Amino acid sequence: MDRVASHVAAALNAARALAAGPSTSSSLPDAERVMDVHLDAADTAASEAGPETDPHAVVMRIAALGARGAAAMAAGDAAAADAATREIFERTLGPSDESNDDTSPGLEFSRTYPLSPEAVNAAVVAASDKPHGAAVAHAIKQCAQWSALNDESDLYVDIVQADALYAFAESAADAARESEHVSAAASAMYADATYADVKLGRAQLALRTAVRLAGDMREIQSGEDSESESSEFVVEAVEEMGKRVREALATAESSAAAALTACEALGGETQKDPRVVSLLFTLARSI
Amino acid sequence: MFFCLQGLAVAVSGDVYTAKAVIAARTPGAGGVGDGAGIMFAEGLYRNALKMIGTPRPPSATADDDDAAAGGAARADLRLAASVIHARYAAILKASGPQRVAEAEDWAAAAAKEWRAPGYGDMDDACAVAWAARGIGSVGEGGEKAAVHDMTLMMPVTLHNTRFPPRG
Repeated sequence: MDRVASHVAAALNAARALAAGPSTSSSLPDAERVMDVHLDAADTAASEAGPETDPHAVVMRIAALGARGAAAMAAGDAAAADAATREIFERTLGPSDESNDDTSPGLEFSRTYPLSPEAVNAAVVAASDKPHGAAVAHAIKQCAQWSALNDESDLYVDIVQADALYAFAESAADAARESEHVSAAASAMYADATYADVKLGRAQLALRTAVRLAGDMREIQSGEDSESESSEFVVEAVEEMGKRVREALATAESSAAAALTACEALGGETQKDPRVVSLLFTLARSI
Repeated sequence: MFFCLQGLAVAVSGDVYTAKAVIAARTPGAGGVGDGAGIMFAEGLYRNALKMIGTPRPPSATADDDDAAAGGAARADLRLAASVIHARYAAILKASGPQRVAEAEDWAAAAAKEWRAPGYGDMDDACAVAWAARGIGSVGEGGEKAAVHDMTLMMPVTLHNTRFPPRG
């Protein structure tokens, strides 16, 4: 593992302990301090990887941001989670709608991040064979997770955006876990868990979509019942929505099943699990 | 830990069948009776999930209580994930009919104890967890964006603060 990946893994572990509360402090005392130390170390390591124009360095920055976002979510710091995920989003998918309000959004964007989203995406894909492949996939997953929750904009916009991010995270995690590169061996093990997590997230998003669409469909239908004549347009719309509900449910079902399979493949015995052992190793070594 | 991840995945599979049943029940023209078998299937999946996270019975304590062993409490590091699974299970039991209401209340109480979320404005603990539980994929109105289960963090990620001592 490289430095960024090690610190990201250690920061995530500390974030988990922090979220669980003081009763786990016997296993990781001072979780908040440990988490902050590793987050800062990951940032430093990422900034030392190269200039902003280097795709490799930008990918490192994304990996570190993913840990920062996850840590903020664990700590309940919505503003920090927002900032971290927004940067991941803008670096990978381009400027968000809000920054488009400017008259020259493209110019503004290129001043902030010199590298185009296409170049960053290519670098993310290429990172799957690197020691930090899983950390990068995790960062994109975390960004998808927050997009799915973000209540500032319309739900359907969020769904489309989160789904695109989940799809990207899934391909990144899948490539990382399938990597046969020797230097990515540890990353491949972590990516197994990230892949399962992405599948679980997609299942939840699809479920939410299905329930929301079904609710909207009912509203349209009840509105239609009150009128004497049903318009062709409404019938068509309801049919289309019914189709989308069925599709979303099917996606939810298959994603949940895929998540379960992936989890089962991870193995059940905590003590013997090599991932847990390697995580503890990382932690012990890097404090 | 990874065995517990399976528990989360099984619980979300349970959510899929709950959602199917609820959508079927509410869709005009589908008879309006819902899919009773779907709820039963979801309950079976949830039973498995509960065993996997180590709480086959409603825990009367959290891991840091003195009598934790007697209450079959969920492991300390699973507290947040467990609370939402317990709350969701309580919702499923309530949907199963009046004969399961007492059992449902036990699970809801366990969930509220595990969650303990002051800082939700005027909502009390039980409301906070019920509100978050509604957002896990399926049942209920208005809670669509409440929470997302995160396997990496072993907790539901919400837009609200979840950082607090387990017993106030």
